[in-house]
Amino acid sequence: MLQVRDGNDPLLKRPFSLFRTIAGGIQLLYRIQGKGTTLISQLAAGDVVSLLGPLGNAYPVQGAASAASVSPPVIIAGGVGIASVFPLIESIHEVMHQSTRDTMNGGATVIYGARTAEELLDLDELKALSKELHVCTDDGSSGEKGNVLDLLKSIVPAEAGVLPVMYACGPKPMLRAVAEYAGSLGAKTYLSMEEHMACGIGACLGCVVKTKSKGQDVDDSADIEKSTEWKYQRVCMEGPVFNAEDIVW
Amino acid sequence: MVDSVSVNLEVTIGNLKLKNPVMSASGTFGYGPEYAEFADLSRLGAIVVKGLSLEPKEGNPPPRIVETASGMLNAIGLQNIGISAFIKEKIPLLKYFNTPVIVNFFGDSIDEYAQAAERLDGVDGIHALEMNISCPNKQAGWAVFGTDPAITSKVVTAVRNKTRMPLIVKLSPNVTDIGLMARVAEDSGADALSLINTLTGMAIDVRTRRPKLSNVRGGLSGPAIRPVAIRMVYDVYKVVKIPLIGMGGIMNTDDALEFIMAGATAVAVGTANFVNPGTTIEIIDGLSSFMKKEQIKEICSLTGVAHTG
Repeated sequence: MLQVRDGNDPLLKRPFSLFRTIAGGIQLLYRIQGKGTTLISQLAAGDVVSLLGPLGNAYPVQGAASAASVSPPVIIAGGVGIASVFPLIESIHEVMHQSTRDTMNGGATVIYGARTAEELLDLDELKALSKELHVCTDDGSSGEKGNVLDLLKSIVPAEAGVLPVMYACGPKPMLRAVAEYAGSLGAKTYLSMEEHMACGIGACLGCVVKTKSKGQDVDDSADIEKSTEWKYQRVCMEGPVFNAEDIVW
Repeated sequence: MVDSVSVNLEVTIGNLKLKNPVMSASGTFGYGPEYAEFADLSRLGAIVVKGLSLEPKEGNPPPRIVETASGMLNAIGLQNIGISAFIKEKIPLLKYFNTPVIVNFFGDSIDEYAQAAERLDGVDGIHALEMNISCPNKQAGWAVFGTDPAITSKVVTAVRNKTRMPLIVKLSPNVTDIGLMARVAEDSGADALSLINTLTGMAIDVRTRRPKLSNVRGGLSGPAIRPVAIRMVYDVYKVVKIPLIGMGGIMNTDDALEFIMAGATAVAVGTANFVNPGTTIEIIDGLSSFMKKEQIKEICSLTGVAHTG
């Protein structure tokens, strides 16, 4: 949670993904969207901001790499959603290098979409970290013209023999489309969810998403209804990463 | 010398003695332990926990919050784990802190309020009750309890009959005459009043042309409402004898002092906890520094000073 300046406008901190760890610091990625991000763009080196974090969970990578020898994980990023999956792309690259000693092809299959070429990160770095990088833009100014779901369907077709583990971060309609497609395939998929957030520490209950109830202490045989029950979970505490199959859209 | 002044921050609400007048506002502090990492909970005057009902409540669908000019709208929908789970799971954790626990509660009928009060009364680890009367009444077409003097009288009386604990009534500010509602609550047996709850508001996304909150309306909080809250505390102080707990956009020590000078015996910090989870502690220290600087020995001597002269 980042607060650019003291005062009442903007009032609340805003959630950001940890984009990159660099020597002596961290990097956050933002797109100028409102007052807060405009203020960030006006910061100079040495300015002080207030940061609360890191908060919440992370993408689970265990298993992804071992399964990767048969089918590399697929990482889907929409817009600034790339910030949250970037460290994942890096760590999968690292883990697969170590486990396969394959210096050429270690890494995930990355599908990266944005509205226009201008909103894409430097692609060379991503290319070096991924097994394959597929890019698309809404206007065709870079990569394929279209959206990440179209690319996903061609890269992981419905008739795919071995299903990859998938990870996605981006706008809600994109996540929903990915979740629905992954659900039809039966592919294990993790989504990083976003909601309006006030505190970031689990108190305000503002940032909830509707999820299927795990029903740990529910006797399924006793009540069929229970298996269809749902509950709200907090993006800041139980998330932001959820199993795609657990989200109720 | 200035440093030699010893200051007394103690205040009394009903028969409940607080080591200082700074508490959390219900709904902004979770059940308490959420903030243990950021604020020394044993230093707070009291912990006011998130509103509880007899049965757990799921709350509203998202979006539940939206930031507005110097404030925020929330429509959480009173999501809570229910009184029984609170007593079983949270009270044992709260007992670690040497701080009184004030339980905020609500119901959707007078009977449910009374049952909730009965369930909470005398529970070890609970020191006072704060009833939220800004919620809708099932038996009156979902009209808000706290906007009708007759209903307010009935619901407060019903709760009063079920508990001997200090009873704080949290007033709704969405009324024409806050003084009237305050007198009604006092006459019905309240030991203290909390004011103000959030002001009903709404915001629209001009691109989608739809309300920004899924619940359409929400409660406005934050510094935007502070002048309204100060005025209401000032007005109510004139017409009741019971202590007032002032709240509404308190972000720092000066804001807290404003409420105290308007007539509050204690103050509650709400939205500021979201911005800076250490705000309560900073205000406790700030009050102490202010008193030393101004050579004030008793914080209670400042209550209502804006009325004199």
